Amino acid sequence: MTDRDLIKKLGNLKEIKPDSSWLKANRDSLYTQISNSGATETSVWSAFVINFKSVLKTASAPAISFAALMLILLGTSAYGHLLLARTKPNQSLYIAREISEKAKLTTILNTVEREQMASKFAANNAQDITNVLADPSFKNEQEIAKLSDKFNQEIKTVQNTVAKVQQPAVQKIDTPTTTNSDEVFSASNEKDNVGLSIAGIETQEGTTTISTTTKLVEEAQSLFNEKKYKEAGEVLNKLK
Amino acid sequence: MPQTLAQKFKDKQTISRLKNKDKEVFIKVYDDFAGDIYRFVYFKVGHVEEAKDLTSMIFLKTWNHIQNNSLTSSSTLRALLYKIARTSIVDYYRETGNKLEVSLDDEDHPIDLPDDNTDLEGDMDRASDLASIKSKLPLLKEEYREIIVLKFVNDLDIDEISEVTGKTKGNVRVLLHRSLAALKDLLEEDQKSK
Repeated sequence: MTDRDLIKKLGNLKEIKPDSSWLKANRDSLYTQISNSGATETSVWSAFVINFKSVLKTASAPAISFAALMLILLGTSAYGHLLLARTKPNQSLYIAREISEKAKLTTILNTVEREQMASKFAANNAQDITNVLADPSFKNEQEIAKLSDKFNQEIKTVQNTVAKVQQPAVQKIDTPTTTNSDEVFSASNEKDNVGLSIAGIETQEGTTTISTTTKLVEEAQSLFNEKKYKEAGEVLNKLK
Repeated sequence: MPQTLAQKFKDKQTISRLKNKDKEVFIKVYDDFAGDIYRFVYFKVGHVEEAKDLTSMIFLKTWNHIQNNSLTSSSTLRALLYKIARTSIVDYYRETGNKLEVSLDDEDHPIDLPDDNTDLEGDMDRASDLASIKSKLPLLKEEYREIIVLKFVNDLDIDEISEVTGKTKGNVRVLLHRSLAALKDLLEEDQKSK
C-alpha cells in the first residue's frame, strides 16, 4: 500500500458526520443561548466598517505590503513629477520634484525620448526660476544668486540636449532622398508629442526647429542676464 | 493548501463580525465547522454522545472567548476552533475524572455511508477500508492519531496544524511522515494475519 492509497482511504473518514437532526437541534439551542448573552445583528454601517478594516488587515500581509510598496514606488517614479509640477524653485518641496524628475527619466528606456524629456524638464525648471525671480517681492539676494546659478545649469542642460540630438538630425538631412518635398525629418521617429520637439529641419506642423530652439535658449539667457526675468520666461514658454 | 487572499479576507471579516457579537455570523461558523469539529472530537474520545456534548460545549466556549474579547490568539478562525476543541477535551476529562480511552468501535452508532451511489462493490470496499482504518486508528499514539485526523481527514494545512498543536512546522512534517508509516504498518500486519 502506498502513502497515496492510504491518504485516499483516510479521506473516506470524512463520511463520519453527526446526525443532521442533532446538528439542527444543537444549532437552535446555541442560537437561543447566544441570543440571551448579548448577541446582536450587525448594522449596515458596522458591516461596511468591518469590511473596510478586513481589507486593510488582509493587505497588511508581508507579501501584499511589499507588492503595494513596489506599486507606490513605481507609481511615484513614473507620475510623481506630475504631482509635484506646481512646486516652485524657492519652495522646500522642490527637491522632491527634482528627485521625481530624475526617477521619471530613469524609467524611460529610449535614449532620444529620455533626452527630450530631460530637456523639457530643464526648460520648465528654467521658466519656473524666471517666474520666481520676476516676482518683485522676492528680494533675497542669496536665493537670487542660487537660482541664477540653477537657471544657468538648466539652460546648459537644454543646450546639451539640443547638441546631442542635432548630430543624427543633420546626418539625416545630408542623406539625399527621393521622396516628395513634404517629407519630415525628425530627431526621433518616436517623438513624444508632449516633450520638447527638436527636429533637424522645419516640420509640417511648425514645431520648433533645432536652430530656433538654440536661438530661443540663447535669447532667454541673454534676457535673464539683463534681469528681464519675465521676458526670459515668455521666451522659454515658446519652447513648449 | 495555503489560504488564498479571498479566504484571508473572509476570515478577517468573520473574526471582526464575531468580535462585534454578530449571532448570524456565529451560526454560519457553526454550520461551516460543526461537522469537522465533531469528527475531530470523535476521533479523540471515540464515543458519539460525548463527541456531541463536547462539540456543543466547544462552540459555546468559542462564543465566550469572543464575549471576553480574547479572539486574537489565532491567525485563522479554524485554528482557534481546533485549539479550543483540544483544551476543552482535556478540561472535560480532568473535570469528570474519566480516563481518556479511545475505541472507535461504537456498535450503537455504526457509520452510515451515503446510499446515493449505485456502485455497490465500491461501497463495500469503502466500508471495508473505513472499518479497517477505524479499528487501527485507536492503536496509534495519541499525537499520531491527532495529526492524521487534522491533516488527512479534516484537511488543515501545515501552518494551521502547527498553530493548533503548538509544534513547529518541521515537527509537524516529521510527525505526519511517522504517523502515516505507523498506520500503514498496522494495516499491513492486519492484512497479513487475514
